[in-house]
Amino acid sequence: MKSFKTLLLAGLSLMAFTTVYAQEEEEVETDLTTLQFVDADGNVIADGATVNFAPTDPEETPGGFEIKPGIFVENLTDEPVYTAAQVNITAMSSGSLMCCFPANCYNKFELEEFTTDPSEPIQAKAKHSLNTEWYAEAYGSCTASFQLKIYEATLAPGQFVPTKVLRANGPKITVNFIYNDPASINGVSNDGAKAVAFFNANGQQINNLQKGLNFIKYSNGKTVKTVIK
Amino acid sequence: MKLKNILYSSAVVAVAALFTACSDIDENERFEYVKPASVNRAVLIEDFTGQNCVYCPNGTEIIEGLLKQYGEDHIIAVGMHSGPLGFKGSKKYVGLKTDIADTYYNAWGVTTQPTATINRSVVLSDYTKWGAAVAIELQKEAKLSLNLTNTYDEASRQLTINVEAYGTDGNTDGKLTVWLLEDGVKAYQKDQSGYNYDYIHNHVFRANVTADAWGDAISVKEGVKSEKSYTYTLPEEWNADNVSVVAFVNGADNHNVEQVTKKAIKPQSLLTK
Repeated sequence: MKSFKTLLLAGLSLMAFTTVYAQEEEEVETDLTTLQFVDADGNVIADGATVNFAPTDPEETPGGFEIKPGIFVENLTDEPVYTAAQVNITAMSSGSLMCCFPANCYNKFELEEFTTDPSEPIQAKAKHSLNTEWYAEAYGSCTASFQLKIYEATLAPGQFVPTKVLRANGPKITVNFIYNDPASINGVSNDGAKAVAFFNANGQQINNLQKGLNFIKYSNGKTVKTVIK
Repeated sequence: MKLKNILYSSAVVAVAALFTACSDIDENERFEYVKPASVNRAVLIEDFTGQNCVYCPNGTEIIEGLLKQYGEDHIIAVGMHSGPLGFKGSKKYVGLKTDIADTYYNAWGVTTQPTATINRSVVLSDYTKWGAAVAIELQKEAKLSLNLTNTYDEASRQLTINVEAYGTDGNTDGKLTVWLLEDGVKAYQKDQSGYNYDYIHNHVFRANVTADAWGDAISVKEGVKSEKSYTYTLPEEWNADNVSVVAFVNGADNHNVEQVTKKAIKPQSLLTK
């Protein structure tokens, strides 16, 4: 009887904690109505947008200089939503990219693509920080894209951890984390192009990036909007 | 010759008397093997944590809640500072990460933090489910009991650890691992509000004492005591008042902790508060 009880408990353990994620399908629908990216002020960051974040005075931390954009994921629905971020680090001049979304942390020192663990849902109508920072060891930049994944969760009898099945891709954004040398106007790059001029919100040319809205003109002809906090 | 015969005859009589005495005892009252009483078990939580891990203090909160709920005799928590979110230290900042903790981190296939093993029966990154896993483990019958005797010499900082294992249900052929932990270590911890440079870390994994990171082979038979002894010299930077020994026996395959125990190296009643 005792051995049977032990076997039963062991079986329950295995069943209770088995979490099956559906194989990532190549063709998954896109859903832009469930989640959206927003900034700290609640302004929507559109699907497909590129955000440049270049703080003037980043905090020096044990991990390096912390380049921390305030980006949040907002649940637009009346139900909790299980989500994860598929992160693709495509450039990083030094240090590491730390992503703690939604409830567990990853710290990457190399260029790579990974998907975070959808362990905890974002509650209905709530905003949840993306909790992602680049820790720079020196001036430079890091570029990463963030593709939200949306899951359906079901809890079978005897299970303690819901099974999550990928339902759709949510919005995707790209973030350029920038650690600028304040003395240099060439500290910013866009696909290898150099910054050739800066403009303020009124369209007036300025010598250096300043707090608030800036426009950076690059040698490849592109002009990019940047907010310095 | 006569003496020999007398002695022989006496022996025969004595033995006969002995058997006669036995046969006077009712068959039902003769000595029978009595199985040792089952013991309450304790559960080991290896919390793969890191000083740079924003959500790791959330995992710590869960563990503190379990300690309050079940008591320190039943929950043995170990903070394994490890992985890419762990910090080994620098000239400016105290680090708690060790190479041994990284060995365990990699062996369990941990990819995100916090993640915990619960009695090495399950590996969970969802810390809101650690309590459920602990409850399941606590229901399992313990197959053995463990007892620790620690002797610490202040002058030499040498610690002698005696581990006594006693089989209570069947025979267990597994591995005995012995670790040292330290409480009350001040070192930074990142959380959702930023860096806390005055954070106090408890249950910090400091060192493995057994010859192998995965423990020494041990065979614990039912109704029999098995003992092993170890010595360790504490580094100067550790506060001996806050150091404890954790000992556990798990399966030969490194899974399924059968029993675990913890004891401070100094009698707590003698510590100056």
